[in-house]
Amino acid sequence: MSSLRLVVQPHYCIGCRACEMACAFTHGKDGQVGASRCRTLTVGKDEYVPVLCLQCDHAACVQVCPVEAITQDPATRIVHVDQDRCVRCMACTVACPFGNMHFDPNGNHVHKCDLCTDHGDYPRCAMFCPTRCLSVERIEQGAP
Amino acid sequence: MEQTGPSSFNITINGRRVEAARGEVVLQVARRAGIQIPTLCDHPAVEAFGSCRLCMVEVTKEEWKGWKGLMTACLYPVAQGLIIETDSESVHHVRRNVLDLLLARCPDSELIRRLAAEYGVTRTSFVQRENPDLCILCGLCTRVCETAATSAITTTRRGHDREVGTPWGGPPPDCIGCLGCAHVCPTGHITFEDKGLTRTIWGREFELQRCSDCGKPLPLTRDQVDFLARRQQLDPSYLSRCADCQRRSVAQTMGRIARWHQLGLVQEEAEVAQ
Repeated sequence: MSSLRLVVQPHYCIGCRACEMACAFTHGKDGQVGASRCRTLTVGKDEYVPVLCLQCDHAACVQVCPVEAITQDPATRIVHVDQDRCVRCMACTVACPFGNMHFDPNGNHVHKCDLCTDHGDYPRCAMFCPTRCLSVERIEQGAP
Repeated sequence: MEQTGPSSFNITINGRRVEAARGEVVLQVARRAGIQIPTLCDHPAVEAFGSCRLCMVEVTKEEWKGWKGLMTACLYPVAQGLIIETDSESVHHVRRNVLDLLLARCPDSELIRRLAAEYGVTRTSFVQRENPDLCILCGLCTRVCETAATSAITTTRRGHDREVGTPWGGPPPDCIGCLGCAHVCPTGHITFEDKGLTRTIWGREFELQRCSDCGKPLPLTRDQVDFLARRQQLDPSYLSRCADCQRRSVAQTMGRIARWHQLGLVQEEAEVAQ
């Protein structure tokens, strides 16, 4: 049993935003493009950083949720939002110290990076990244 | 109640054999098997309550010799050999009656009208309530408030006058303005307004927390921040900045590390950190 980790190496980022596009198209519904879980920020001249969920152990979003709608899968270590359980109090969108819990006003729900678990088990952002700024590492169970 | 016997077994729903575990209720098992049962007052975040009576199903067993009972699927615990019908004529009959009554109570509710039409009820056969609102008295708001917040609202008065309300009808002193009640309300009866730095719900005004960096209002009230920090044992500093500012600061930090990396300084930085 191994789990996926997304590796971000910002010095390779060229700011093409292919990751955002891949994410938005992957998480679309009913023929509509969804909202991207990945945001590429410009931090200097020709310096870009893609920011996405770090799937923290002991995450602030998990801790702040008053209805335990956000949980971390012990096997894959992916932090997952149970949309049926969520009462949309928005506490997690503020509590995430990295700003990676987003709110989608169109769908009226919070969403975060799920490492594309429902979309073929391989993060699409990494698949479409032309410079390997975003890449995937498999971590064997038990490794740090 | 049966406490012995195997921990998992098969039950029959609509003629299909479905696996169930002891301690589960019929609704859970049916949903897992992809069998739709309509509900109004059910929410995974709170305990089942059985107030809307829409999830009624027909329950029987081989050894009951033809006796059948109508039970709420959200509360009825599964047992070995249970035979459930979710779409029989008697189930539809009782659901039609429930929706007929709900339509008399809330004729303006889109959801109730749609559900009633699905069961062939387009007009209520009862006397329609005077000055109707959208509340079906399912109590989901009060249960969510109890679970996720402070039990600031509850059902008040009795009989015809029963309604969801606040202590003495005034602005609720314990409310934290989290909007949980408004978001779970199936018919949209509970309304709120966010305007600038003020949130209004249940006739009480709340001041929204401001981002400590950019000053924009956060989607949390000050009372909510205090409550969450205390109850969820989270440092209040976690609830002081907006997502945009958080993201910007993490991007700047990561950008700085990337710059060191390009300059070959990462190793030294690691030594400095030690």
